[in-house]
Amino acid sequence: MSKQSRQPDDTSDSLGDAHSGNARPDNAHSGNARQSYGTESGYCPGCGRPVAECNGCLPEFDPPRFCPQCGKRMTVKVAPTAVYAVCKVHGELR
Amino acid sequence: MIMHGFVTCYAFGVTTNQIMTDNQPRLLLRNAEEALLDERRDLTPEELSDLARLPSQYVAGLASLAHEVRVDRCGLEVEVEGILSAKTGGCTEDCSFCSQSAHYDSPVKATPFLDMDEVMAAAKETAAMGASKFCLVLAIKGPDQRILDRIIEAVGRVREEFDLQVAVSAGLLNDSQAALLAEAGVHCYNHNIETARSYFPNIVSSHTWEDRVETCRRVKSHGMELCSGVLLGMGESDEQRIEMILQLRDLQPHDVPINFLNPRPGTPLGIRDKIPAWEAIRWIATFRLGLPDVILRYAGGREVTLRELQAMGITSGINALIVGNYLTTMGRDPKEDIAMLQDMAMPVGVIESAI
Repeated sequence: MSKQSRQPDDTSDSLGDAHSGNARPDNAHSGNARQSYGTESGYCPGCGRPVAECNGCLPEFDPPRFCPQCGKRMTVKVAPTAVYAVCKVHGELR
Repeated sequence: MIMHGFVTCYAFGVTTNQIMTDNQPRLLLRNAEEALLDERRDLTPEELSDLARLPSQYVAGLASLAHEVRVDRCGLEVEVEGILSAKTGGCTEDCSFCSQSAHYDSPVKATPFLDMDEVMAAAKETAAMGASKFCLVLAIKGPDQRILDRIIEAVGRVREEFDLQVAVSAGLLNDSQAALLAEAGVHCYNHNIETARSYFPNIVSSHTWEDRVETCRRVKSHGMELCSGVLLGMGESDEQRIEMILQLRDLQPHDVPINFLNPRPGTPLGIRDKIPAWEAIRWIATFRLGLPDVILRYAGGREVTLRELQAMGITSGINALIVGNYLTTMGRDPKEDIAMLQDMAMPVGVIESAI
């Protein structure tokens, strides 16, 4: 098991301009677990590997954690009825 | 004679495992019914242990008794709560099940304390779901003064604007922190025991089970309701599950959330199997029979563990739910839960614990 991959409370990859942190954007994910991500894109939203290596490891009730466009780990906020996933490079996942 | 399974026999202080004969399961259920509904006494550890070992075909009977006990002690109302991870990931603690621990290579990225607008938006969503309680959860060992101030501000704002009881889960508390939260109007503080005292060192090394219990006792001493539950499926034995029930009895929480392990990628428990649905029903019922007066709450992992048996859990002793999303994973659509309760003729309401 890999340990200490980052420092506690490391929040350096904070939300970019795509999410001001103020009022919730109207285009937030519905939070419905049956939404599909990344099936037609380059990277698996569950593990960040190219879809040629993995396409479908995101469990049904998990939000996307990696950007389907670049495979980078996203900042994800889980609200009671919505999920907001933001890539530092590509902005909010729609 | 039909032999069903094993029952623990306590005679002259000696415990032995014996084959359970065909009428023993019915006798055990009948004795438990008399104890809980007629004599109104708690089941002994031995009785609980025997009930937990009933053969599979008697689990529905166990669940039925647990439901009857729940309705007798707590009524038909079901309490609904929404939760928000107000500060996610980057936690210093090494809880083996947790995707928010900084010790493991989890896909969950740390985010700082949410803005107040985001907290308020989540409270609004919670109220709109029909919930009566909103819990702010922070992935931290315990709050420093800066975080405590922000929690207190958030609690005040939510209480001012919404008709919601506000709960907080922010790790270990010292006495003055507990006093400040109580003074700020925190209705309920969540701090799970997670597992049995005897199994805890297998799961967490960065703090002790006793540290947790100390915080739980502080919460109660300052007049807040204590919400303290468990996470089943981490490799604990049946005996250790009974141990949890007895330890919770001693702690006397108002609210007991039952979480089922949803193995998280990158964590030490990420490769474990989930609890089978029927086993989950067995243990929901056993927890209700062991803790007849508490609010027994569905918490994380129920969708993936119980799947089609979620309604059955409600008739196996559960009388409260976390609806909507969890901290790092999603739940099913809250409308499905509300429809389920309506179909079962169970009103959503606030429950006063008998404790």
